[in-house]
Amino acid sequence: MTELLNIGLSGLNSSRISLRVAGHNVTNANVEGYSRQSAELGTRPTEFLGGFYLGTGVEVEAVRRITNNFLVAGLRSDTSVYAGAETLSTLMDQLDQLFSNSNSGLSGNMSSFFSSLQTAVDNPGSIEARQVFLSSAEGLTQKFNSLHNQLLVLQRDIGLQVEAVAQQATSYTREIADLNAQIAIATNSGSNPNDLLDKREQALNKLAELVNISVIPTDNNGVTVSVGNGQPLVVGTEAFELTTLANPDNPSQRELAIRSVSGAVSPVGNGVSGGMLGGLLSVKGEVIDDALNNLGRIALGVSGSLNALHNLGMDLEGNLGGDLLTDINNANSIANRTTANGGNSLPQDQVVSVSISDVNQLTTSDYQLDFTGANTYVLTRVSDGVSNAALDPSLTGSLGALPATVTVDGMTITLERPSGAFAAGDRFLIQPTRGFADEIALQVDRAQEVALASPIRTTTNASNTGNAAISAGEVTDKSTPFFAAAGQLSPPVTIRFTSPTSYDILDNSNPSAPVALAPPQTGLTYPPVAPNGILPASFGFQVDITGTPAAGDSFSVDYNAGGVLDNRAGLAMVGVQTSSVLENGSMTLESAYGVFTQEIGTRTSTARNNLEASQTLLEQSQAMLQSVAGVNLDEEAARLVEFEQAYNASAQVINVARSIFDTLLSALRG
Amino acid sequence: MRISTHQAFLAGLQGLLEGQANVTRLQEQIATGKRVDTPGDDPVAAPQIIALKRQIELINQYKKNADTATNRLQLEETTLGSIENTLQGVRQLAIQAGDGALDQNGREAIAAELQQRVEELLGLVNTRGVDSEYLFSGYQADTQPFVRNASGGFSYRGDEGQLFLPVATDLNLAVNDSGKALFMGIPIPNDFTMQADPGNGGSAVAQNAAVINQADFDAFYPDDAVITFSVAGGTTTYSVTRVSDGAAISGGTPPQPLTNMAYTPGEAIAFEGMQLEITGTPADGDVFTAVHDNPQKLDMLGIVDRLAQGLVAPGTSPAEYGELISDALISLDNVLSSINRTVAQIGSRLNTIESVQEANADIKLMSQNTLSKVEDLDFTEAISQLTQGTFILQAAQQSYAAISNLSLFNFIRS
Repeated sequence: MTELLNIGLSGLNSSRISLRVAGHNVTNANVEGYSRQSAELGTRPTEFLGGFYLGTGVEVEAVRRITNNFLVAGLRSDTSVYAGAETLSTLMDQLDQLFSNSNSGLSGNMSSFFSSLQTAVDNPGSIEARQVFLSSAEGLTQKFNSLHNQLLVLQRDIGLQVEAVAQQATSYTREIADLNAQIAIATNSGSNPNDLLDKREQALNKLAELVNISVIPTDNNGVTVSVGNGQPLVVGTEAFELTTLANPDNPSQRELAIRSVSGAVSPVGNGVSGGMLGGLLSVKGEVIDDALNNLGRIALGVSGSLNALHNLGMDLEGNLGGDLLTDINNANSIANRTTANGGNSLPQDQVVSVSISDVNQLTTSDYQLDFTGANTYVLTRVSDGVSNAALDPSLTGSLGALPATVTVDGMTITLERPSGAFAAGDRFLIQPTRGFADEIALQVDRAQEVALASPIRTTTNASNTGNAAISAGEVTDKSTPFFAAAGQLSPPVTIRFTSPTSYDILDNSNPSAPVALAPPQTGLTYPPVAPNGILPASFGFQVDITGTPAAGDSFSVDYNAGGVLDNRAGLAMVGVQTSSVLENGSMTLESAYGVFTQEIGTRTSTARNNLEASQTLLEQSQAMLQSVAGVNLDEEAARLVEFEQAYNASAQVINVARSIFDTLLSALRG
Repeated sequence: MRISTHQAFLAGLQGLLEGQANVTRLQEQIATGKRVDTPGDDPVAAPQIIALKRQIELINQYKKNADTATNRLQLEETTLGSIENTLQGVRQLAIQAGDGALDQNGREAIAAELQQRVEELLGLVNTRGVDSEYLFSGYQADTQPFVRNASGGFSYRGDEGQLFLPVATDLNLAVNDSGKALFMGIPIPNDFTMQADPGNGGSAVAQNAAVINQADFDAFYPDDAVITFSVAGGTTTYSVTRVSDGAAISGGTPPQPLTNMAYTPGEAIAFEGMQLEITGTPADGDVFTAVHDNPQKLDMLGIVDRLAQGLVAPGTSPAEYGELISDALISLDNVLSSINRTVAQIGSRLNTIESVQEANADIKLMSQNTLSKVEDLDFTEAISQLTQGTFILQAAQQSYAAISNLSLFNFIRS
């Protein structure tokens, strides 16, 4: 009878435990990361009694956590991918808006710049039209500055976010290491610490949201977590710290690093993908750097092309034009284009200065200059990794005597070192276009100083008898002695034909008696086919004469004093809008911006598509894991009913045992 | 497949959220009418949109330039029209002055009126445009182009500059013409001067030399004629020969070679469109040469001014007076043809602007249509999508409500 009582008791016990497990499941149904548990019942060992094997009841063999490690790992990696895509997509949407919105983007300012220039060119004498042009030029430069600064702010914010995320990741690695320790102790005591395992799985998932990790199971239910190209984050009960480290090539930039328990800090490198960190880092580096370079190159294009023409013009007051916008090769910009590696050889008096020689050839890439010896170097274009001769056949990789120059991709790099030669290991980061969008500014502050006219004009002698005609003329170089004195051509010249095919160029300071120039330019042969450019290139100005001159015919070239209704220089500047001044003559300023915003758009669209795809994947893997590990309340309700009935039945067994015991006792009492 | 309760709720919720996002996005597109807001919405269409917008902006700018150019050219055309009218008046006056019956008073009256016309023309050639810039002084629009010299005559103080405006890609049109090209350097009829040989021994002088038939003289020009006197036996004769080949020149009516012609002092000698008188007594071998003047040019104002002054100049022979009128008429025709040439150019520039404008308008319309196709929303499609989206959202809400109520616990309550 005690056997029956014991069997009943075992039933009561196991049913109670089963009910408790089901209750635990029901109450944890909405806890994130909870895996449903089930009590596994087993038959107690039998007794061999009187030639029979007799059962002894039921027992709970284990409380098992129902999950699937394969699905768990899948969910973790999908979580990483999704978090990365979400971060990237949010940032890209922000950039897409910044550059393409007609208010915040550059295109509105660019087109109003050119259209107000056009209006000023239509009415070169109008101060109002010039004033409007100056305002929109100011607007354009400020837009360059503000876009540049918005990008820098975004980059800095992302940097701060990276630091914050790294700290958060570190707190998860510590939690995982702690849980590893607790789980090891619990496992050693012989049973599965189900809820601790869930908790660690949850922490791993949170960590995976921040950065893509790989998880390898070890003894005693422990895990080893690593990041990037296998750098460890958690080993057993030890947690490593995620932190940031200044980039030695560019100290203003910080990159992700790992601090080991011993305190050694090593950079993670390019292995970080996925997770918020992956998303943040890809925008912070590649995308923003590229955007800054693109903006800078367009700014260089605007300044370079317009200054070149404005410098050859003449303003409303008869003075030669100066720079309209910041000179692309001002000392400050030149200094900002190079960053020396902090570990360069001492004394660090190496000077690597970069001036822009041809805006049209500039790329949007950065360059890395590495010295492999005192006068041997490797110059690499970062965008495609091409270096030296492959980059440009003129790059031999070895330098002549210092100061030496290297010209490539539209820039001229001058290398100097007062204390001697460069040393192997000296490294320089060259960013030819990076900062100019910030540096560009309007250089003209009075409307009268906008140089829309050309400084020279031509006159046909009234008594000419031939039918030759002279062009209006153009200035090609204002640094010649002819333009040395303000407000005049020194000296004015006259072109006098000595026969229909030959001519002299004379000093016309005294129009009634022209004299020979020094050196004389006489007996020149007249090439009749236009454009014939009949003045020597060294003059810095040029005219064409067409038709057949008669002997004695003369034409004069003089300073364009009082030329207020002249827009020749302005017309040339207007032409910049439609000429391909960037990317080796394949892009106009506006189309370069268009291509750039399109790149941003493509990245944005890709990021959005990736976000959608990764969301679907994440939902699927969540569903798959949930279908194994999630709690179904209907199922648990049924279980509760089932175990309740089993409990009642077991109680009934005890009741029967008691009843037969009572029967026996009363029989004995008689 | 086994479904966890949490997942069932999540899936239902996800459906609701997606439905809402879809409906909101469609609603936003319908509200703005734009399918593509940023390049991220359609990176393939984005560069096309940017290019089309730039194209349209450029065409708008060309339209503005063309309007400015048209205004300037029309002002110039109107001004030249007024100048032409005034010159026609001058021409009428010149013809009136040529009337042989006109007495001195009549000439003086015409001369006074011509002086008025000179002032009128001086005002017109110094016309200013909307920005008070001089129309005809080239680049130097702040400099008055035409001034009367203290020593008589007029001078041009502008230059030969022309303002060009772009009215289409690679098409710059001149929108003004310099006064120098228009009104200066007008060719005036060829003339000659009589020169007495310094070695002449007689007292004869040549006078009242004039071109009486410009066409004949122009045919002879630039040759020179020599009148050689010979005195033999008390009879003075002269012969006229060409300088170029020494051949005898014919003259008189009917024409006959002027060889050994009897000399009568003061008698008109006419040949090759020229007429002159020689008075006094020439010695044997005396020579007079009719030397051609080099081609002369004069400005428009000078031509009218010279006519006005010539009408009242004292001691003008009828032949000289005739030449004055004839020269004035020919010179005026030259001025008028110079102006007409420019007016024709202005007309062709205006035509160019018009046709370019039409072409630009066509391109703009095409660009706008394409832009609309690429960028704008297809409303029919969007609204039908919205209807469908709303329907799906409603269905999701209803099914969520229905399913979320299902639980076994509802039935096992005791």
